[in-house]
Amino acid sequence: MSLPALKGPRFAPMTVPNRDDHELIRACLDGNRESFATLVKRHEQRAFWAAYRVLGDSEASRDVAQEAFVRVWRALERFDFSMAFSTWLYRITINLAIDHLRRNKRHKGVDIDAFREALPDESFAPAPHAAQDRSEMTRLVRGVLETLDEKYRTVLALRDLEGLSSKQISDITGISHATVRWRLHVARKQFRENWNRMEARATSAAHRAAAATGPEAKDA
Amino acid sequence: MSRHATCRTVRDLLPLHAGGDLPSDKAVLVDEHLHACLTCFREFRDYAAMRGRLGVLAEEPLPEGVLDGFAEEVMACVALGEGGPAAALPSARRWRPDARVITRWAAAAALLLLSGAGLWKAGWLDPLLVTPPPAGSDTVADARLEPDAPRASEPQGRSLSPPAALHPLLDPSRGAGVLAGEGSGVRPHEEPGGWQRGSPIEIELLQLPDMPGGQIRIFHLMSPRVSQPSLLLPEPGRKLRPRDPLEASP
Repeated sequence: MSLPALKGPRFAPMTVPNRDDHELIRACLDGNRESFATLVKRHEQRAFWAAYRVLGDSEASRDVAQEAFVRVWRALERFDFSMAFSTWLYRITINLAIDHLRRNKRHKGVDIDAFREALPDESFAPAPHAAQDRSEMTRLVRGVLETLDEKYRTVLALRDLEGLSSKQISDITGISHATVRWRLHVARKQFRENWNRMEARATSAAHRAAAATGPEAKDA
Repeated sequence: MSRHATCRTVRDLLPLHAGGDLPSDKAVLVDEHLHACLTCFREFRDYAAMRGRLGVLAEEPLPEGVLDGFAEEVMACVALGEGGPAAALPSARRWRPDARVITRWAAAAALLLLSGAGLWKAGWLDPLLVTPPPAGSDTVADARLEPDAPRASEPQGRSLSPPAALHPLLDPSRGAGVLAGEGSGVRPHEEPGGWQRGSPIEIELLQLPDMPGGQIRIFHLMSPRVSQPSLLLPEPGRKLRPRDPLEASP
């Protein structure tokens, strides 16, 4: 069965530890700060996106990514050279992002109705993905994604947006492989249900609007 | 996997199958079922469309300028916070002093100071303070004295009484005064086969009038592990430790 192909991860797969990264880390441990700057520049987008997948806020994601790098620097002596640096960075970033999310609680339990009201009515025409431009679609998808609990959203984002394998997600989040798969299962199911619910409400709202404006149009 | 028997099972597997997360043997079985079952196939298509929508986020462009100067800021944080201040962390950058917090801390500090002053004035802190011995006399604060010695309830800081009996190691011609008591203390310096910290000791305070000033104190420290008593000259100004945490233990 052919699947619609996603563009896949933005970055190189992490299955094999990046030797260049390891050399840079060794240079950092020898006191070379320039190497760390290189490491930061190489992975800044990765850290930002990892945080952004969880937080959905660019400014907070930038802060979290910066804090992740500072923590990386402080813990560099404890780096395990048997693993990829990016896996380690992901782990730190995701954990910081989840902590940030829990502190603020802003994203937890987003109400679909509230989300719908925040958008213009025309966003909820039937089959909005066909009618909206890309940025509008992005807002819709992100809105539904944020209705998911943080633990499901994290796994879904790492798998479907960052293109990481279940094993890598397990390494990053520290949960078992089976739990990753279960959360992925629940996340996709909930995302689909929430999306369909949003579409159904949008459709009925559009019909109500059409019914209300219909007689007036007829009178005119 | 027949269609009627496995629709429910297959639907449970569809979320993972849509992302290619099923083991190959199960994936083949699900695919076979999907070719035969239109209902399940529609649901599968729905999941596939969902992944397609998520793909919009995967292709989202980086917000403009969001990473400008990122590495430089990180390196500045590293330079400032290397093993040091948490204030260098970005999350702490936005912290601003809260007037209410400062007021509460100031009130707590003032209360603490007033309480301390009150306790000090009431004399409740006296047992915690070591009074330096007055010139010309030696004192043992809070010593538990032997029956023939003055009681501990007597005022502290008193002068030593004349010796009832002199220690064999001391030269009687010097006419030293002796106060025998027992207590515990910290060993003032290393000594072969010495006693451990907190071991019970006997303390003898001697006044040697023929020494310069006549105020040099000699502590006779004897512990069960030291067969021969030793004479130690404490450093000038050294204080006895009147209370030891181990003293109360049997």
